[in-house]
Order: sequence, then C-alpha cells, then structure tokens
Amino acid sequence: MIRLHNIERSYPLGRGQMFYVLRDIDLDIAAGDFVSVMGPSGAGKSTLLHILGMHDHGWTGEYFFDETAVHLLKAKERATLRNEQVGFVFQQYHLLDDLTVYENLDIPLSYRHYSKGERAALVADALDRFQIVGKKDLYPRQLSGGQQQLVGVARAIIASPKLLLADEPTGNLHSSQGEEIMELFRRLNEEGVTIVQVTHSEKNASYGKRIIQLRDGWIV
Amino acid sequence: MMGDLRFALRMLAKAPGFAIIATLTLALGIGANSAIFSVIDAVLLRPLPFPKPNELIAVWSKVQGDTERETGSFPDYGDIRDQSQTVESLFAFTRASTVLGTGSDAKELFGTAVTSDIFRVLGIPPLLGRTFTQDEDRTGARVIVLTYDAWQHYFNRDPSIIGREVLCSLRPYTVIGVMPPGYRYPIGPRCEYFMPLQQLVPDSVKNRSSHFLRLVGRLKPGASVKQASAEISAIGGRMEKQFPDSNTGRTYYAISLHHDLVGDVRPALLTIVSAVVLVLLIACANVANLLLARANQRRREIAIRTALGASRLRIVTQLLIEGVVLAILGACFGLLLAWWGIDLLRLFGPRDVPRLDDIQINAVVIVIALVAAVASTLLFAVFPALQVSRPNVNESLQEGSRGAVGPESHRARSLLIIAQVALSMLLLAGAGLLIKSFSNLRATNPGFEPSQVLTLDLALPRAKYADLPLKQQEFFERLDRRLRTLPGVEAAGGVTPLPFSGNDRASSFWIAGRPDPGSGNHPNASHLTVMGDYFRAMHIPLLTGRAFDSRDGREGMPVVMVNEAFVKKFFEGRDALGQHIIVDHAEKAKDRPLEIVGVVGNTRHESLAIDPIPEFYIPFAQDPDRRMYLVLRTSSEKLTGLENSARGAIHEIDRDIYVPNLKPLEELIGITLAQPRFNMMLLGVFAGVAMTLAAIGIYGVIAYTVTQRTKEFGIRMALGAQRSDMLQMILRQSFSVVAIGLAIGLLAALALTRLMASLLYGVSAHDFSIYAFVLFVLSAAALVASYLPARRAMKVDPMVALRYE
Ligand SMILES: Nc1ncnc2c1ncn2[C@@H]1O[C@H](COP(=O)(O)OP(=O)(O)OP(=O)(O)O)[C@@H](O)[C@H]1O
Ligand SMILES: [Mg+2]
Repeated sequence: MIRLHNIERSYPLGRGQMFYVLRDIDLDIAAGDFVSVMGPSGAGKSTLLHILGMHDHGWTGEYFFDETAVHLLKAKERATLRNEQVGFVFQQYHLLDDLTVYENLDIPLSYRHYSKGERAALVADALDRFQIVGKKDLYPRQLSGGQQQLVGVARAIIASPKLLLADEPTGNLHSSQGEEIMELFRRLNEEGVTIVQVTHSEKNASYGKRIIQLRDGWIV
Repeated sequence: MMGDLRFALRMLAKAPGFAIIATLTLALGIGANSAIFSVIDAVLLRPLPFPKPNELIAVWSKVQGDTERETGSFPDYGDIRDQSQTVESLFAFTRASTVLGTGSDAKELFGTAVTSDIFRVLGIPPLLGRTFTQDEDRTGARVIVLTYDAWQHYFNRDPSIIGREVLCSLRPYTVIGVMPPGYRYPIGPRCEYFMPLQQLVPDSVKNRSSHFLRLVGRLKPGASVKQASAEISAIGGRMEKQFPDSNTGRTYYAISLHHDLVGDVRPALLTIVSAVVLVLLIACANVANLLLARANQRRREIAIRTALGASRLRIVTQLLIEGVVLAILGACFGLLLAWWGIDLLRLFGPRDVPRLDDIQINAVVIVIALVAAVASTLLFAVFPALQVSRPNVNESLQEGSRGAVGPESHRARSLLIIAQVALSMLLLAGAGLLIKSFSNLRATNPGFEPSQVLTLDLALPRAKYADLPLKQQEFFERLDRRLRTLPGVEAAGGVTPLPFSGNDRASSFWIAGRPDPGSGNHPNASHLTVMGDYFRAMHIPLLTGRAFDSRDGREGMPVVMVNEAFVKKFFEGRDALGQHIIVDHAEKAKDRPLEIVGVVGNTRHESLAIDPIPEFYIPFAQDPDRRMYLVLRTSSEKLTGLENSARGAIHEIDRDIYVPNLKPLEELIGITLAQPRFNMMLLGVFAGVAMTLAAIGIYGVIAYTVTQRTKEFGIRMALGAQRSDMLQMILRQSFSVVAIGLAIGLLAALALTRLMASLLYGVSAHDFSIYAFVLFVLSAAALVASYLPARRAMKVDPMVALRYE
C-alpha cells in the first residue's frame, strides 16, 4: 500500500549547513499491516509520520500510495488523496476546545463531500461505536484524558480512512486507558484498516504486527 | 504610584508598535474633537464681545406666508424704539460700502450705515475721538467712525486722523472716532466704518414700505427677551392697524442676538459635532480592542501578580495608568493635529459662519481635549482592565498556560467591532447624504448659463449721480454701447440685483383689471431692472412675446417682462402677454400700468437650493438706478485684457468712478455653495477617518484571532481542511460580526439622519441608493480588513502549529 524510496528530510541549520532528520528511508507497508515505529526522542518518528500523513511536503525521494506517486502530486491533489485515505491520531488529542464532542467528530466530515444527513448518521454511528453517546454535548475539558483520546481516535476514523496514523496515541494516558485504545486499534486493524503508530512502549508495540526502529533518522 | 508609572512606560516602550498605533488613533479622535470644539466655542458658546451680551436682542419682522426673518422700515423702527418700555435702546442698520479717496489709489471699504443708538446698545466707548450723536443722525452730518482695523490698515494708526476730512464716494466726511480692536458690527462680514444712516438714504428712511433695515437693541435690566418680544409684537399690531397700506400682514418680534447670530449654522455644526464625537468613540473602541488583546497576552503576568498578593484595585490601577499615559500622549498629539486642523477650517470655512476668524486653541479647548482624553481613557481602558483582573488566579493561570482565550474577552472584542461598524455606518450614511445633496445642488440648473460670464458691480457715486436718473441712464447706456464692442465680448447687458450677488429686491404690485384689495394686501414678486442684452448674455430663454428693445425707452409705452413662475402663480399658467401690472413703488412707473410683453425662463436668485420665485423685469430706461451689475458673455475664459478695457471704457465716460474687479458669475455661485461644501467635506473626512479606524480595528482583531488560533488551524488542516476552507471560515465569522454592526448602524442611520433634513437638498434622508452604496463600501472595507490577516491563517503549517505544545 505504501512504498517509500530514498526519502530524506532536512532542515537548514544556517551557514549553508543542513540538519538531516530522516535519511535514505526505504519502507514498504502492505495493506492490512499494523506497524509500530519506535526509537529514541528526536529520532524523526513524528517527522516520518507526518510525511506518511502528507502534512509535510518538504522532503525528497519517492512515495507511492497504492499506485499514486505522492511525490509528483500537487498540493491540492495531495490534500484530496489524504482526505480520502488517511486518518490521524495525535499524542495531545488536539480536540478543539470550543467545540463539543459531537462537533469535534463532525470536523473531518465537514471538509469532505458528505451531505448533512450522511454527516449526522456517521457521527451518530461513531458515538455509538465508541460508546460516548452520553458525552456528545460535553466540551473536551469536561472529559478525562482517556475519553478525550477516544474522541480523537473516533475523529480520525470517522471518514473511514484506509490508513490510520497515530503519534504516541497513549502517551498521556494511564496504562489501562492505553490498553483500551490499543484494543480498539487491534479491532480496527482486523476490520482492514492499515495502521502505523509511533510508540515508546514495548507493550503497545506488541499489539502491532511488526516494529520499525528509527535512530538518528536511519531505519535500523 | 511612581513605580506603576515607570512600569507603564516600560511596558509601552516594549511594545512600540502598539503604543504608536494607539497614540495615533487617540490623537486623531482627540484632535478632530478639539478642532471642532474650538469652532463650537468661537461660534456657538463664546459670549458676544460686548458688555452684558445677554441683554442684546435682534428685532425682525415677519410677513404672513413669507420667511421668518424680514427686515423692517425706518418709520417702524422709530415707533418701536420710542414706544417700547422693555428695550433700553435700539439701533437700525444696513450694510454699506463706500469708496475711500479717488483716482488710482481709491479703495472700496465695507461698513455699516447705522443710527447713533448702536454705540449705546453695544456699550463700548471709542478708542479715539467720539461717536456720532442723535442730532447728527437727524441733521445728516457727514461724519465717519472707523474700526481699529481700518484705522491701522488705511491710516497707519495715525492718531491725528481725528477731525480730518476724508473723501467717501466723492463726498467729504469728517473722521470723528476710532473704535477699539475687535469692535465691529455686524459680527460676521467685513466691517471697516460706521456712518449715520439717515443722510445716506434720505428718501427710504421716510418710507414705511421700504423694508431694508435690521434692528438690534439692548433690554432694560430685568426685562426678558420674551417680554420684549411680546411688547414689540403688540406695537407691531398697533402699527398694522394704523398703517394698513404698508403694514398689513407684517408683525415684529424679538429674539436673543446670540441666537440670531448662530441659529443658521446651528444644525450644521451640531451634525458635525455628533460626527466628530462618533469618531472619538470609534477611536476609543479601537484602542480598547488593542488593550484587550494585550491584556490577554498579559493574563499570566496578572495572575502571578494576583497570586503574589496584588489586590484587584492595584491591578486595575496599574492597567489604567497605562491607559492614562496613552491618553495624555494622544491628547498632546491631538492638540497638534487640532492646531493644524484649525488653520484648514479657517481656510475652507464658509464666510457666512460668524466669528470663524476668532477660532483658536485656548484654555477651553485644551480643557476639552483633556476631558476627551480622560473620558476616552475611562472608555477604552477600564473595560479591558476589569476583564483581565477577574480574581480567578487558578483559572487564569491554567487558561494562560493553555494559551486559550476566555469567551468573555472574545465577546467583548466582537461587541467593540459591532459598535465601530455601526458608528461608521452612521457617519458614512450622513456623509453620503451630504455628498449626494451637494452634487444635486451643483447639478441644479440656475436657469442661465454661468460659464464665461463676467460680472461687474458698478455703483455710481452718490455725490455726482444721486437723484439724477437721466444722468444715470445716460452713463449706463453709453457704457453698454461701449462694452458690447469690446474684443472678446459676445453679449453685454446689465441687471440689478444680479442673481447670486447676495442682493435681492421685491416689490408689491397689482394686476390691472382685478378688484383691488388695498395696497397692504398686494402680492410681492422679485423686481429686477435689466439693461441691454441681459437675457442673451445670460442665456435666459425667451419663452413667448419679445425682449426689451429700443422701443422701450424713457418715453416709450411702459412695459414689463415676467418669468414663468410669475405666470404660473398669478395667471395660473395662462397667457399673460398683453396683461398689465401696476407696481406699487417703482419710481418712474408709479400708477402706470405696465404691459407684459415677454415671458422668460425661471432663474434661481439667492442660492441653488431655493426654487425659482416669481420675478418681473423692468427696462432700465424706464427705471434707472445708480447701481447696476454689468454682465459680459465672453468668448473665452481669459479676462485680464478685458478687465483693463472695461475699466478704460468706464473711465472714458467718467474718470471718478471706482471700478471693482470683474468677477466670474461661477465664482459668485460658488460662494453660495461654500457652506454645503464645507459640511460635506468635514463629514466626508470624518466618515473616512471613522471607516479607516473601523477597518484597522477589524484588522487588529482578526490578526490577533489568527495568531491565537494557530493551533486550531493546524488541527483543522491535519483533519482535512483546505486552505480556502480556513479563509472562508474566518471571513464568515468576521462577517457575522460585521453584519450585526451594519444592521444596527443602518437602523441608527435611518433614525438619526432625519435630524439633518435641513442640510439636505434633493435627496431623502432615507435614500435607498446611498444606503446601498454605503453598505457596499463598508462591507468591502471590512472584507479587505479581514482578508489581509486571514491570509495568514492559510499560511499556517500544520506541522509547526501542532508542535506548539
Ligand atoms: N521545523 C524544524 N526545524 C528544525 N528542526 C526540526 C524541525 N522539526 C523537527 N526538527 C528536528 O527533527 C528531529 C526529529 O524530530 P521528531 O519530532 O521527528 O522526533 P521524534 O522522534 O518524534 O521525537 P519524540 O519522541 O521526542 O517525539 C528533532 O531533532 C527536531 O529537533
Ligand atoms: Mg514525536
């Protein structure tokens, strides 16, 4: 499903020097895979994830998503592809403080081509599936961390992405809450969603099918 | 306290952009207010420059079905003065002009022909010499009292001038006195001398039907204007019964002199004051918004101070001191702006605003500026200070740490924007109405073609021409024949009084063959005397009949021409040719019916805003006059050569005649447009400033919101928002606020612009196209002001935004 070839990502350091965050990354991820990315802080895990998620485009190399050459796409086409295929779960949840749970879930749909009726139905489905119907009118600050991340996951998959990217989804959670999220991921993976998650915990990594180690921008 | 002040200065120095914008905004508001209040102070508030000004009154007459303020006759004046118990003294005056000296260094002076009572009424003794007496009034002594300015300007402040003889319009006058600086009457226009009235117009002062005098008096101590007015109208009532021929339908009344002087300009000034106060409010709203944004950034600082034991009062004081520092800076720069603005006001202000030259920045204005500064501080600084000093340390610290902004502060900023937009809408609507009025006025056809017409106001000196109609006629007819042959002149003629010259004349008349209701009940119409090719020179169309020609000489059949309005009013629009009118006081035509031989198109006379009124024209040969306005239609706009040849032509006939400069007729019309132009310009400028400030306000708020919401935008983009989605979202949110302001402003404008109805011409206060246009302009400004900072939201890099934690 994903084929990365010779991906490099660097930032200018000043005085003409470059700082390489990622170097010569070659990576294949098949459809239905569940990959855990691990490595020390600053290794470039988040950077890699944002490249996969097509938020970042300041890299060089080749990136094929299914048969599409992402590195050849224009910004607009890339955004369309991302909206159709990818969901993203953040470490800090990143729910919008001024919107209710219901409204937060609705955001991704509002940026895609759904009718009002479809949107209502999909949000209702998600609330049901994650068992947060009772919380739909609450604001994020009225939820626990675990509940907030649950909403974050629900929001990431509400538009039925084929690829789910998660950057330390359980980083701020108690272990029991973390387990809940991981179980959820496993179920989603069984339903056919391809998952790439960044994690520091061996235990979380064990939910995945394979582990990629990153160190100083190199896959090891 | 000193510590707070030092801290305040340090905080402002740390944010120079903020300090500069806030100071300039306040300076604009305070400066505009100071300038306008200096006008109000000089024109409306400052007492008249005479002792006990509250005792001064103006006496006017009122004629049924005519305007409120009519002049009075000399015999009526005498009766009122002699019979009134409430008025201590009363003078009558009319504006006059004279030519000082002869030959090439002759100068035209403007002054007042007046009864000697003026010096008792106004109550200031002369600086040098003496003033004239009642005896001199009666005997018609040739004496003259100079104003200080004239003494300085024409006589180099020579004290030996007293007792010397000077030549005024070729007659010797003795200078008997010089008044102190500032003494002039009437107050508005140029005034250089005072002369006894009676000897100037010995015939008119005997005629009870000759209404040409303005009356001003001083009340007896303790008498009120109301009492005086009641008494004067009672006297007027008695005169009406006693002299039905001249006084039927005419009553007299009194108002305070101050009110009389400023009554005309009051609505315009009040409109402008409201406008300028709105500008200050908008400026305050802007600064409040800036402070609110800053205060939010300082929430943490404030919470920490509170946690360390600062009371809420201390915190509020601290923030207010910053506000006061800004206000004082704003007031200083504002006064500078006002100083400069006042020069502009003096330069562009219309001449008919009384005491415009007295405008200055004095203690009153400085106090007003400081009051405006303090009041605006309270407006713009208290609100944000109270907002951020909410004593909830815990929440503030948490909120601050999360970088989120309380919903109240958001609402407060929206309210300020709504207020700014609404006020701007109000101002723009007012300015739009005035602009449309003005362009209506300018587009109004005066009934003649003023371009390429030069006019010359020529008065033959009384000394040589008074009571000599044959000589007057001969002079002007010879001149007319010469003028039409001058190179560059296409047609020449003369008229008195000339449209837009500031003079008019009305006479009562009756239509021959109709039952006569008695001369007191005769209708009035404008009475003009014309000479030569006047109608052709002015391009006034002849509608039916014929124009005057050589048949209509002195011995010819008495004839008259009338305008369309005359035919409409007195002949119901039917054929008036061949009908006769009898003019009551036309000297040569007394009791002789004049045959209507021609009808011409209507012309406007006093101003473009006043619809044409019925007029009749009498040929010069049958009604000669000492004063004529010559009109020359020229083939080009250039007049230098023409002026000299015209002067030569006049001096060829009589060397002693003073020839003023030629004036383009368009310039005379322009003078009557000065007041509406001035109103329009001022309100236009204020509306422009208001809109700019509102736009800056919107810009500031959106820019601030965009930085505050960077993280949110990052999240939204990560969740699939396109850049255009974000732009749309911000514009939509900005516009939902702006739209509320527009709606409120629209309602306010619909309600309040009615108050300026008296300033409008040819446009309804609810003119749809203006409101639509103003809505469009303001929306466009708001759109631009939102779009510029909103573009920054599109540049948000989700990667960077999400890293913000
Ligand atoms: N905009 C940037 N400019 C310069 N350097 C950057 C930028 N963004 C990231 N980096 C650098 O790239 C490196 C990798 O960052 P990245 O966030 O991918 O690490 P990570 O593996 O996710 O670490 P962590 O486990 O702490 O989240 C870091 O050294 C970081 O300083
Ligand atoms: Mg990371």
